[in-house]
Amino acid sequence: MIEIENLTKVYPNGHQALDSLQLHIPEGVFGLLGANGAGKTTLMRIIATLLRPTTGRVVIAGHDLVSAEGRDWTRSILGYLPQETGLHLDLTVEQELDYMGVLKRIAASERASQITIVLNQVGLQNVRQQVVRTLSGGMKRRLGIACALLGTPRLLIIDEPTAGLDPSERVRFRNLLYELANGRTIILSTHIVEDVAQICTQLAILHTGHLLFHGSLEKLLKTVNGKVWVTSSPANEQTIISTKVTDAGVENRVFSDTPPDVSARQVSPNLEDAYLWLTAQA
Amino acid sequence: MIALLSIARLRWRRIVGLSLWVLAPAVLLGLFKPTTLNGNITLACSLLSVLVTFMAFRPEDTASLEVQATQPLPLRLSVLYEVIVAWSGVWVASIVTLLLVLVITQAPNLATYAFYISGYAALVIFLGATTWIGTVLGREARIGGISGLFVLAWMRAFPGIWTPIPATYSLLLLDGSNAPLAWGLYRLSYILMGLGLCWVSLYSLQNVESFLIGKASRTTARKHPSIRRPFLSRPLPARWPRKLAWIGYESLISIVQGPIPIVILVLWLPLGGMIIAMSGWFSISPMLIESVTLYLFFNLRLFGLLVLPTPLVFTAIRDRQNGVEPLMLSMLSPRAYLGGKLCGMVLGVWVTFLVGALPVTLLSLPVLTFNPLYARTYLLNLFLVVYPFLTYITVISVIMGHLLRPKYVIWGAAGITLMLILAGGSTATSYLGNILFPSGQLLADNLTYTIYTHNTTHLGAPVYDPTLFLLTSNTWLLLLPLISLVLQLLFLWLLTSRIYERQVTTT
Repeated sequence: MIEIENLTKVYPNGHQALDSLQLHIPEGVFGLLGANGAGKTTLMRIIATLLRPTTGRVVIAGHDLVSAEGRDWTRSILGYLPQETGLHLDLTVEQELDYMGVLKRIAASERASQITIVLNQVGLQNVRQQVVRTLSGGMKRRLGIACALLGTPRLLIIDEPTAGLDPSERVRFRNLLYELANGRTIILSTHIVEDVAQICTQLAILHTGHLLFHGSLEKLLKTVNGKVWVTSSPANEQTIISTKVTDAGVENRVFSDTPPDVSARQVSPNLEDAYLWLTAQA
Repeated sequence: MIALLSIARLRWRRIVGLSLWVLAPAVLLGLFKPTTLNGNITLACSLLSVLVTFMAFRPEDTASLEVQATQPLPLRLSVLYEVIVAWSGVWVASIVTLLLVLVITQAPNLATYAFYISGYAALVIFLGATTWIGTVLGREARIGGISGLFVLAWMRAFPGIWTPIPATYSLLLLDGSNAPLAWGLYRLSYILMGLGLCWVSLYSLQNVESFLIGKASRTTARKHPSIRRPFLSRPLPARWPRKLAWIGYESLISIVQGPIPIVILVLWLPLGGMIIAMSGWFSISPMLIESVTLYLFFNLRLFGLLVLPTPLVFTAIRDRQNGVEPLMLSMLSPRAYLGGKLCGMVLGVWVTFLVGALPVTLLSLPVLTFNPLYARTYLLNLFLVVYPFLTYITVISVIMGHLLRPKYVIWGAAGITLMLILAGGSTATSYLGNILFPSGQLLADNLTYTIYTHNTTHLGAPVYDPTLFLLTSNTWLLLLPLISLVLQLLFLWLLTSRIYERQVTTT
């Protein structure tokens, strides 16, 4: 659905946020992983028509974002949920959605019914008359996604959706995104690798504006297959991934091409291992 | 003492910078009209007292408050030191500026200068303390800032209301040579009132919990606002055309997000109207309508000058900081977003002022109904003076809020307020000034003059403003400032919408 060709973004202060990025984003949930400053937000803002690239181009379903027509068309199919939810705290939930409906050019006859549908989808029908300020953090995130869902967008861009949510809200939010993925492209940017592992079919890893990896989860895990070990001995030349205290003592999870010691056992890598391996190599 | 000196060392650059920012245009513009020079500096000093106190203590920043409150130095003392440093900075900057101006423009009269030194001290302490207590009781610096501006607006609106010798009693008119003893006693009373407010503020600061929990309880109290404000809690009617609904929502947001200025407007205007009406009942009836008309002429515009720009500028900044702006820009082009925001804000301001002026309008309705001249004057004032000028200020403030970076906004807002006031003052003597700065002054003067002449000729009312001077009464020339206003707004839109578009798509 989205083709990104040779995309570069240099800010006026000289900071290069993206460097010659090539990426294909298909239908389904697409994960964007990367440390702070990797360029995730810049990339999403360019796709959301908020920023213009310095060079290169983004084409969404045949519409080039360089042209005003392409940007207008993209806005008509876009649902965007920034990290800061961007809600008007003094409006009621219903007013906020109605206002967004007006901005999204939804016909007056359809606004009320669409509001009811999206409120049911995100489970906020009981707080319809409540002022946004009084909602909990999780409810605000759900209201944000409800706003993004108005107008049945084909492209959803969601920045750090589960940051700051409690575990049950996070699971609920992940399930919601999974349900919404049918027939849509959802770009999900996050630091939380578990979210990507649970719901993304494809992902990309960015590092200081460069693309480190692009493909499926399985392909990513293969890159680090056979390299992850758990050992109780102190690590020597290996890179420690994590340290865990168990009843038997301290357990180190390390990267190594060969067994680090006789007691070490090889384990299946997870997404976090693969992510750390790639960024350590970069 | 060490803590006080440390705070002074940390803050002096900011205070001196802000003082120069506000005092410089006051002096520069005053040089063209020397009779207003001292008044300009006094006004700049007044605004600075409010601004530096506004910046000295921000209880809404809970994270900083918690850190500050857990230090060995008690919170009340650290805030007190901040306030002392801020007030001292403004006082010194003002008296040094005045001395320099006196040396440059005329031989300084030491006695007069001494009056100003003590007068500015009273001014800084009283207005600063008003701002401080507003901040403490409202638990928000914004409330404190508006409290200070509110008191200042009242003082400017009625500088000598209780007395034939305004300079003696009014805090803002500082010539004490007529009655030095009475003048000194009144300065002392202002200082004592200010210190009293400081004491209450310090006492309240002992209870840090009220800042941390009180805010939460206030939010909880608004949990079911549909009961308290039914009209503001429903979606707009679906039959409204989409563009109108959009502007309607933008104005609704500007109104529900800015309840404090509205509350003040709604309280202030009827209160002032009542005072004037009561004084009118005890004198002669023509005075009532004359007073009300003057009240609308000067105070609606004054309110717009003093109070409106700052909250409007901050609204734009808040939208940017809490993520509203990027969300909107994912649905609309930058020009469409800015245009909708401007139209919505202008509509919000119009509605606010219409509601705010309603009690005064009702009070004057009996006279307006039976006197076509008064009715015409009132309507012309409202639609050709007050509303165009408010539109002008609103557009400038909103654009400024969207273009300026957050760290420059406070200075920018202060600067624009002062520049508007000073430019407004210059329109009294220059026709060109009225075209360059379309404040509506020219038409307002003509309308006032019409009322005066009518009252003097037909009702025998005394003319109590002999200084009134008409620059022109030619109808076509009177329209030129209005045409200038429209052209300026058009030019501003064409220029700034391009800058804004470039700014948001590259940074």
